[in-house]
Amino acid sequence: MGSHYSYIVTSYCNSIHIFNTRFDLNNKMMSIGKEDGLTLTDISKLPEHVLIEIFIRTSVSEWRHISCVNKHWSFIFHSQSFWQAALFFTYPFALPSNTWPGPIPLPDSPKRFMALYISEHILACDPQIQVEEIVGQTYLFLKEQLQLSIMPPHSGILHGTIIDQFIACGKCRDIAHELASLIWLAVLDNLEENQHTFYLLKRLAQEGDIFLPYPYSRSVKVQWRVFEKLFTDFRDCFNHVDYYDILASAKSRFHPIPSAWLGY
Amino acid sequence: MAEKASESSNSISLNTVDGKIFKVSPTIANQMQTIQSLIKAYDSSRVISLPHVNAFHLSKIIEYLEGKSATTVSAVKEFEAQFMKDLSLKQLKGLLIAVGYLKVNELLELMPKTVAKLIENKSVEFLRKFFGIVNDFTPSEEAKIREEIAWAFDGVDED
Repeated sequence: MGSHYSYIVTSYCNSIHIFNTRFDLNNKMMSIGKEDGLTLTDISKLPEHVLIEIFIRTSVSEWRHISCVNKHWSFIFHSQSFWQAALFFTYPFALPSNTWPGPIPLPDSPKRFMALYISEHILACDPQIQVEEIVGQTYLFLKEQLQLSIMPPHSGILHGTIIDQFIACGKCRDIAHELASLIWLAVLDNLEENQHTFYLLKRLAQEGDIFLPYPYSRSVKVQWRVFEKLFTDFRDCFNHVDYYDILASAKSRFHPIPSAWLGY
Repeated sequence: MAEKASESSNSISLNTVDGKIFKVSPTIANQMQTIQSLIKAYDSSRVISLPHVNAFHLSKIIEYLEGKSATTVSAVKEFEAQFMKDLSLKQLKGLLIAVGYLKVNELLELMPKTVAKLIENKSVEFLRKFFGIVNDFTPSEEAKIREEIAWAFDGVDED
């Protein structure tokens, strides 16, 4: 699971307090409550299908939280049945077995859920119209490929793969190019601020352009964002030599470069 | 309710764990999937024993199934809200187990929704107490898993 969820901590805790007054934390929930007409019932024995029905109705930001209650619950969150239920509860319009042509492989239920979730929340598609699974899926693909530590593919090749994927899914060239740029920007903006990301951005900034025709050429906006992140968020990570190297490649691409980028 | 139903000849008899016999109409009985499959397996004249359900829970479920046949959507909504409101937390938990066992589809939507609201934004300790769950992680396993989810504790109200 990615860190994408972190920024949406929701708070639906009104009305709960009313219930809490009735709920004595120290009472024994396994006891025989004669006044309630209860027999020996133990809520921890709830069948898995009921637990899943409860979990899928809580917000996604709760899930990692719920999954560390005990081993059984953590296991539920690793099961296909949970993710399938979540997928069809949250995204009922997603086709039961979605297939698409193109280079990016078909995912399993957890990834499908995440893809739809990303399409809806990070790439800001309107759920009422159409949350496109392929868009979120491409986001996950790009993020995973960029974070490979051994032999990460050249960004131009990744970009080409994304364009091919969208064209294979029946998008026109302009839309494919636009979606690819959107996904690049979203992935760049959601990378964690750590050393690995700094090396990744540095690599992206220094990679030479492969000359390719539209729509395979990369968008200027994306390249600009790479340099901007390096010169603002990651400024402190630079040593002297690195800084001037990157500045040189920035100068070769953009005229003029903003003054905020200058000055080591 | 039981007397009235017994007048019809093809009513189904259900025996709860605390020894009470309920007679329900086939329409009501068939909305409980577990009972529906039991009726198919045996003949319907036999008394069906329900080892995990007591009289109170069964009467609540029957009350729900009879009540939700109101004519308008808003009347059903109102009935459902009142039904959930009348349950104490203890009753809610017990009923949830009965509903899970009998597989009453409508209640399997309505009740988890209510429980999901109750556990929204709560600490892990609260969840364990709420569900009566014993933590079976070793301290180091738990520390590790908590480390990974540290962000999730932002904005949790501790009770």
